[in-house]
Order: sequence, then structure tokens, then C-alpha cells
Amino acid sequence: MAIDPITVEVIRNAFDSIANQMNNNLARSAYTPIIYEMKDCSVGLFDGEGALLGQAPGLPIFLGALEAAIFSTRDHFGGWDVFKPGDVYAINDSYLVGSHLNDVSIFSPIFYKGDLVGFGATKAHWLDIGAKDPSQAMDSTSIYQEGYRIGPTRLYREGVAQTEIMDFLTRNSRLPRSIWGDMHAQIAACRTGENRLQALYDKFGEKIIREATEEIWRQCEVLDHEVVSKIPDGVYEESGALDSDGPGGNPVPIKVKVTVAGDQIELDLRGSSPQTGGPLNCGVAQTISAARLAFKFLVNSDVPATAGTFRNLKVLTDVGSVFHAQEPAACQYYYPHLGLMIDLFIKALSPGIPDRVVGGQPSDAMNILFVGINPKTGAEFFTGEATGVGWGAHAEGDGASAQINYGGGDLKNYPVEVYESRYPIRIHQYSLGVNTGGRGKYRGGLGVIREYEVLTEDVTVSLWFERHNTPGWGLFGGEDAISTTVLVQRDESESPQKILKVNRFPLSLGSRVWVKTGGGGGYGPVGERDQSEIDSDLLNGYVTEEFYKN
Amino acid sequence: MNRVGVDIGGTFTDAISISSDGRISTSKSLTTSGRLADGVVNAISGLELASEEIDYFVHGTTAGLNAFLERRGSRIALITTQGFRDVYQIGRANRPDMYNLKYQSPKPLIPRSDIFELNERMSPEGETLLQVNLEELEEIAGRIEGKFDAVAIVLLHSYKSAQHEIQVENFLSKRLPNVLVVPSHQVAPEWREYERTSTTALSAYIAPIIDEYLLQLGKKLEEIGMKSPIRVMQSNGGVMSAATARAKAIQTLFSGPVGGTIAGVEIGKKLDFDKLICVDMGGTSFDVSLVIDKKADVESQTELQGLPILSPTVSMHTIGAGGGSIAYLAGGALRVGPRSAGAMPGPACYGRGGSEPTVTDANLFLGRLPQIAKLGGNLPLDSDASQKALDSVGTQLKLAPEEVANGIISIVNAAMANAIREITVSRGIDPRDFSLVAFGGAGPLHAIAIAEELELKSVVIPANPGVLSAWGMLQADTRHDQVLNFYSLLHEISLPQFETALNKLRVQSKEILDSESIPANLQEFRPAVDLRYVGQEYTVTVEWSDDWSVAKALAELPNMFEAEHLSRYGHNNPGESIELVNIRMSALGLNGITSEQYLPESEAKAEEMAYPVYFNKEWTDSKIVQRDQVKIGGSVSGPAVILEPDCTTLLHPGWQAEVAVGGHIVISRSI
Repeated sequence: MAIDPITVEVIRNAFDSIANQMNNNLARSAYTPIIYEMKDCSVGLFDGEGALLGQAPGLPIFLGALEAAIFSTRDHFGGWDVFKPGDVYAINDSYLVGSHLNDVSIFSPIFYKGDLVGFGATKAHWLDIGAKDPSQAMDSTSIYQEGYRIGPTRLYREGVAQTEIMDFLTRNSRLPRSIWGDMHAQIAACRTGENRLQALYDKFGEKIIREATEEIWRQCEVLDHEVVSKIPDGVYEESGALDSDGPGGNPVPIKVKVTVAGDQIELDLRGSSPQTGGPLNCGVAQTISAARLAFKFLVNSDVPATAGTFRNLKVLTDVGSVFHAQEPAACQYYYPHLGLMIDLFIKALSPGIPDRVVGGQPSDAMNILFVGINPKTGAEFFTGEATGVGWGAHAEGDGASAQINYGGGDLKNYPVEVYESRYPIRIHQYSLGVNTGGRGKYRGGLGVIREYEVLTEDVTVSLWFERHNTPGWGLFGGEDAISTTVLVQRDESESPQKILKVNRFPLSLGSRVWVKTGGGGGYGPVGERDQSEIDSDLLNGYVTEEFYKN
Repeated sequence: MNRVGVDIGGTFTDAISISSDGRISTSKSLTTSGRLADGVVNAISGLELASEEIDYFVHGTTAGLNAFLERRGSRIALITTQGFRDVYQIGRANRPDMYNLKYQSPKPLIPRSDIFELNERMSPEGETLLQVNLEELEEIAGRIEGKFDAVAIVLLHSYKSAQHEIQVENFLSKRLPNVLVVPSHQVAPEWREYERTSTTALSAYIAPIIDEYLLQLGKKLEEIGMKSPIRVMQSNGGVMSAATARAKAIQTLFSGPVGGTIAGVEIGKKLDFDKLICVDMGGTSFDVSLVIDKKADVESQTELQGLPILSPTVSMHTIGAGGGSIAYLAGGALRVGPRSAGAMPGPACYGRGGSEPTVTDANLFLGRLPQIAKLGGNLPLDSDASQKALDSVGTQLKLAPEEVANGIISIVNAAMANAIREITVSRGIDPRDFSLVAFGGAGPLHAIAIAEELELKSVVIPANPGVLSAWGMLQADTRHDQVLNFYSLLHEISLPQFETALNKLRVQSKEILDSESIPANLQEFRPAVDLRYVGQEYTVTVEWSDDWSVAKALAELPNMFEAEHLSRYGHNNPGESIELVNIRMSALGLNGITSEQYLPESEAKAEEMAYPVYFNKEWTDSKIVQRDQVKIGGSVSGPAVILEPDCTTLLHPGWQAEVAVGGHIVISRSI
């Protein structure tokens, strides 16, 4: 007899709750704000074969990246037998687990009555992992400049802490205490997953949990198949290009071909740029994560992901391409091409599902990083922020203004008052970029303007800003947005110069930087916009009089 | 002293009186939406205590919260520093609903057109970089005049130096005498411009409403002869005078819901429970709060519909699970909630047209909620309608109605237990060390199942569960929390400066207590500081005894911080530099009440009748007991159902209930 639906539901809720408990534990005990405050992390609970049982809300771009850590460790050591009770593993190799070296996966196997029944896994951003420049470099040309690379490595071997490895990892960071604290917070989160999953096994037993798991996956799969089969069959293609693969670099062409056949979706990225000479590349595990995120945006976005999700999604890449980088490609900027890919995926499918899509956005993190000596303390400081962008409009209304891009999720900005108290930098303006949204029946969201003044000598600024040449595009007659730009003025005698990407550009007392991120694309012809909406835009100053004039 | 507490709920306004001889009387009247004060007067009139004899009156008001939820607060403008007009709209730029392409961040209470930028600038050290431009301010005042009821002022770094905000406040108060001026340094003198803006805007939004409401209430209570001053329950679990409430409107926001937690604190003190999980399960939601070491767990920041509030609040976590939660099918799975049938149409058994099965229908069908237990005092229940609703789901799943009903309850119980686990884990607490206090219409029905799920040792069902919040308010002390930004490395603090700052806070706090006529012997001060390791953003609040010298406090703080950090976060870093961010002072006016509660002792022997209730997949003969027929010291063993007018307690097999001091039922495992 099939398992009863009540037990299935209780177990399904329990899996998600265990992942949430792991996540709360990580947030509680993490040392650095980038984890507990900015949520640059991800947590998941897996079965004994690395299949996803439940996941806590984290950085969405990590959706599906955790199991790669489990599989590559298994393959590296030659099979499931390597996992022993009390083990804890770490790995950050970009080619194996995706993203950049700062994101370190830590996981541990879970045993019940001697059987390997699951894994608790976490991934979190470590602030400094000994790269050539503090925190990160905008101009790395190989992975060897980006910090230490951890292959499948035991932090605990059958319950015994491998203190020499831990010492090595902390000693090679500019922020050893943060590394130590965050590493142990991740380990504690894995332990929480272990305790809770074992308690669930005590309650239900192995047979019922196995049957419930199969049923949960089946339900997720059915839901995904139902939604995809309603998308008209066909081949949907789009292409675009990034501004450059790094400071002074070349454009990076991206091709997206989506084939919908029945209840299956294939995303073919072949023909996109080969891996670049700059830091803009990623391992294939990261590409699969991003493809899943793109899929999730359009298919059952309200249903938590499990191993039953994404079964009808297939991803194709060229080995050696920007989406499937090989040694020694630098991977610090693992996201810009994925952000564009997600944007193109949504645009490609727009004819098939016009009500579900949104206009384009400048989908990148928009990073600005100052490094220098703080005159108050005499110590080196480094900042680091991502900046919000305008989101595309959609069939139900205007795009959101000033929010973190597709991949960022719950990532938060840096309060001006905290920033100014901590660093010798003054912020003169933090505002919406008036007129930056694309016109349309529904208007695109506005980008952000943030203006910085340096208050001490010998500071450098590193910038990574994208989508200057390709603004957030409009859909169905909606118009393109104003694109991203950055102006830097070294001193008052010089006029501001436009710089989108640079590593450690020298500044001095009084230098200013204006960051202006782009808006989102419009949706539908501007001629169909309600007069009341136009009046409201003008009244609130989201646009000036010129905006709605031809 | 004759004391009266009144709590306004969504449906009923509850009142309770405790006379000087310990006699208790309770009363309920319908909440009069739009004219809340009338409901309060009606509830008081229902008590067996003449209004003229009331000596002490505490009130939990939802006037502010309702104004916010229904977006009918006052017309407000905002003045902020040049360059930062959009801070309120941008917020933190995050997207918690991360897979939703159409996500919109919480809508600010002030449109962009009503936000005015002013040229002035303060440095993070509190030094003037640019003087306030008075001509510009005059021009702004002209645009505000006649159009707004209140104006919020939020200038950058005002938590460090309020000089510019005070200057603007003084100017506007003279220039616009009919406009309420609300400067951020008075509402929330803490850094983070977005959170402070959100808090100040919300305070300005509800302040005129609270003011008007308290004025009306005062008049009405005077008409019925009440002489006692009005005290108002605050979000932080303390009470304050009506005059203070007018100035600190933001602190009235969660005035109602925290009453239950404060009741938990009092029950913990009376029955000697250190750690309690308080659960309030009503028709649509399940609220959890914690009592740790006999104190309510208070957090310094909370949020409402996504908008942050920097104001000490009893931490309250809510999930959408209640008696009205609807069961439905999705992809072949049985799901329960968070959608609720609410009061209209309500569960199918209300007979008001509801056709989908709810948690209440499941309880009724399984005999856990006996048909003779009329909900809300007089609503008859239709168990045939419940069965029909259960069948609508059961036939698709090929399950008997018992199985569907049992399943619905299992799912909702597991969801509530999961919520408690998630909350306690994030505080570094093992729930097994806690006892459960359950109230609200549906709480005592589910309490033991939750306790079993979480392996808790005991459950308390308070006396008078139907008016528990009002009862809790009567137990609360007066409380005022002050905060002062004081940013320094701990080992570099200048003792004289620290002492001056502490004294400044103490003088301010004492002035408030004095203004509320709290005698000096009942005044108590709790100094505390917010500390963190250098490089961290969030802080840990460490409190010390007020009879310590400042030098002793400074000497002990590092160790106390390390210990608190370890307990809260699971690790610490002895030797790392520690930063001090804020100094806090909680000023308490102890209520000085020690009277015991009185419970009528009935001579009637508990009437027991056999009645089938579905436990553990079979119908089991269970007792039905009226609560008022069990004396203090008496006990009932499960399986049983304990009935009283406002709620029903389900006693599972293997559990035994005992009526303890104060009439509270303490339930523990009998085997």
C-alpha cells in the first residue's frame, strides 16, 4: 500500500524545517555580517545519495550548487564508502563546485544505525581567503591569484578535528578570526542537520522516510511537468553581450537557445564565449545552479525545491567556455554572464508566457571596493558592497526600483551611517536614478545613484560594473532603460572620467566616485500607460517632464 | 486596590477586574470598530465592580496597530538630509521573496512627493559639517502648512548629535503650531538611517490617532465615574501613563498581543517555572513568545509587514496556523493553511456557508471539541457540516473522515512544533528545557500534542484563558527604555564620560517615572550596554545590577559579554577587541501588587460522563469535565476534555492535569 498523504506532508514539512533550523543556527553563530546580516550563504539537507530533501532560503544563485560539493568529494575519493560518521568536509574549488573561491562549502555525512542516510551542507562567503588583493581582485587572470583553492578536504576525520588544516585556512587569510568563526558556524549548522534528521528517523524509521521522500519528489516533478507542458512547444533563442571580461577587456558574447518540448525544457548555451582571460568565468556546477534559478523564476516559484524539482530541465555547455571553465581560468566574477543568461532566458520565453516574464535588468552585483589605511586606527581597511538596480516591468505593474539583481535574493545594502562611522569615506547621495526606468504601459524600475568622497590620502577604488552597453531591455513594445555608468574624479582640477571596471585605482583626499546603476526595461507600449500613473510619476519625481515627451 | 485590565481584540474586547479582596470578575463585549472606546466602556460595565471603585486601570489598545494595518493613519511629511530623500523607499534593497520576479518591497507610509530634502550635514562624530539652511526650512514649512497633521524629521547621524534635529524641531513647532513634530532622535536614537526613518515615520503616522483615542477614552471613562488614571500597555511588556503614551506612540503598537506573554511571566513566577514557551492559537494565527529566566524575551528591533521598527518589543513569532486554517489538496498532497476561513464564513461547522474543512472541523469531528462546547459562548456547532467538508477531501484521497481529520491535526501540530524549534534554535535554546503555556481559543486543544512532539515535560493552561491578555496587563510593571548612542572601544572608554552618560540617562528615566507618580521606593533602574566584537554589526545587550559602581561594571563587562556571546551564538573570541555602541537604561516602576488570585471552590463533584474521542487512531471513551468543578489541588487524568466558557483543553491519555495555586492547570505526564 502506498504511504498515506498525511505522513508525506508531515515529513515534507520536517525536511524544510530542518534546513531552516540549520540556517538559523548558521546565522546565529556566524562571525561576519556578510553571513548573518547580508545572507550571503546557502543551506540544504540531502539524502544519502546527495539528492536534495529541503533547502532554506539563502542566496538564490546557490540553488542547486550544494550537491556538487557532495558528488565531487565522493568522486575524488572513489565512492560513497569514504564517508564515515563524524567526518566534516570543506571544498571551494570553483571548477568543481562553482562560484568563486570565497564561497566555501562545508558539509557532513549523516548516519543512522550505521547507514549513510543523508548530508547536511552549507555554503558561505568568507571575506578574505588570501587573494592577491584584500577581499577580491577585479583583474585576476588565473585562479592562482584569487586565494587558496580547497579540493575535497576533511576538517574532521571520524570526529577528530584536523587542526592543522584549520590553522592553514585561518593563517592564510587577512581576517583569521572571521574565518575561524564562520568555519565553525558552518560546522555547527551541519551538526544541527545531523541531529534533527536522526531524530526524524527515530520517529518514522527508514522505510517510511524513504517512501515519503520518493512521493515528495514525485509531487514536485508532477508540478513542474504540469507548468512546463503549458508553455507552447518551440525553440526560443536570444543572444547578447557583456561589456568586457575585466578592466580593459573584450566583450563577452552569450547565446541562449531554449527548446520546449512537451513537459521538458532544454537550455543550450553552446556557442557562447570561450572562457575569458579575465576573472569572468565559472565552473559548470555554477551554470547549472543559475539555470535552475532561471527556471524557478518562471516555474512554480512558490514551491520549495527538492531533488524532484528541475528533473525536466537539461543544460548544455561547451567545455572550456565561459560557462564551463577549465584550469587556470580565473573565476572571481562568476556571475555576470549568468545574470545575462537569466535575463536572456526570460526574454527568450516571453512570447510563450507573456504574463509571467519581466523586462530586462542590468543583472550584476555592481561592486565597489575601497582599500586604504584608516587614519583613525592606523590599520588597513577595505569596504565591499553590491548595489541595487532597476527591475523590469511586467504584465501586472511597474518594475521594482533599487533592488539587488536576480542572483542576490535577501542580500542587503550597507547603511550610510554605519559605513561613514567605520570608514574614512563620506556618502553625499543615496537616491533613485530619476528617468532611468524604461518607458512602457508599465514603467521599468529605477536604478540607484550613490556618491562617495574619499576623506584621506592613499586610498584605492576597485570597480566592477556591467551592462553599460546593454541596458535593461523593454518587452512587448516597452522601451529600454538607461544603462549603468560610473564616474570617477580624482581631484577637483580634473573632470570626472567614466570607468566601469578597474582594480585598485589610486585616489586621494577629496576624490569622488558617482555610481549610477541602470534601470529596468518597460513592458507594453508607453501609449497605453494610464494618465494617472504618468501624473503620479511626475508628482513623485520618478521622472521629469521630458521623460514622457517624444 | 481594585484593579481593572482591558484588552481590545479583533472580535471581542475583554475586561477583567481583581478586587482588593482577591475577587475576580471578567467580561467580554463586541469590539466596536471605529469607536473602540465604546467597546471598552461596555466591557467595563459588564464587570462586577463599579467604575467609581477602580483604583488602577491598564489598557491594551490596538488603535495604533489598526490605523497602520488599515492604512488610515495621519497625513505625514518627512524632512531629511539633502541627498537622502530616497532612503525610505530604497530600504535595504533586498528581496526576501527571492524567486518572485514581481516582488515589490513594503510600501512606505510617505510617498516620495511628501519627502523634503534640507541642506545640513552632521559627521558620524557628531560635528556640524554644514549648518541647517533656515531659508530652505522656511520654504519647506510653507509647503507643509495646512496639508499635514504630523511631520517626521530624520537627519543623518542624529543618533550621534541631535543638534540639527532639535533646531528643525524648534523652528517647526513655532512656525506650525498645529502640526505634530516627531524628530527621530526622540523616537529611536540608533544608527541605520532606513530603520530609523521607518520607525519615526510609523510613530508620526499613528501618534495623532493614539492621541485622539486616549482623549476620547479618558472622557468616556470620566463619564462613567472612573477616577483612576489610564495606563497603557507597551510593546516592551511594561506599562506607561497615557501622557507618556501620547509622546511615545510607537511603543503602543503591540500593546495588545504582549499581554499574554506578561501573563506567562507572572505564571512562571507563581508556579516557579524559569523557562516558558507561550503559545497563543486563535482562528488564523499561532503566536509564539518566550519567557527566559522569568523575564519576557525582548528584542530591540522588530518589523511589521516588512517595515522595520527600532523599538524594544517582546519578541513574537507568528505562523499562519489556527482553528480556521483550511485543508486542501495540491499535487496529490494534503496541505493545511496558511489560508484561513476567518470569522466569515468560518469553519464549516459554524454553518455560515463554509464548505472547506478546517482545523476546527477536524477537532469537532474527532470529539476533541465536544459539540456541547459552544464557541464564543453561544455559537452552536454543526458536526454534519464538518463531516461533509472532510469528505470533500477524503473521497479524493480515499480516506475515511476520521483519517482526514486526524491527518489535518497531525499536520498542523507538526507545523507548530517546527515553528517553535526554528525559533528556539536561532536563540541557541533547547526547547526540551521549557514548559508550554497555551491559551487563545484553540491553544489548549493542541497544547499536549505540541508538548509530545517537542518532548516537553509540562503544559500550563492559565486560569481565565479567555481574558488572559487583560489579566497579564494587570501584572505588568511600569517600564521605560532609554537609549543613548555611545560609540567607543571598550578598553578605551573614559570612565568620567561613561559615568556622565549613564547619569544623563538615569536622570531622564527618573523624570519619566516621577512624572508618572511612581514613588521612589518602587523605582528600579537597569543599566545595560550594547557590545560587539570589532567588525561585527549586530550587538549583544549586557545588563548589570544598578548597585554596582561604574568602575566595577566596566571591569566586569568584558567577561559578561564573552559569556553572553557564547550562550547566544555558540562561540566567542576572548581577547578580541570589544566595541560599545549604545548605553541603555530600563526604568521600572514596580506595581507592588502581591495579592493572590481567588478561584471559586465548588462543592459540586465533577460530573464525569463517557464520551468518545479519537486518540491514536481509535475512538476512546473519555471524561468530560467542567473546569470550574475542579478545586485547587484537584486533578483529572487523561483521556479527558476539560470545558470552560472560552476554551477547551484536550487531555491526552498518559497525561494528568492538576489545578495549582491561582487556578492554573498544570499538566504533566502521568507515566
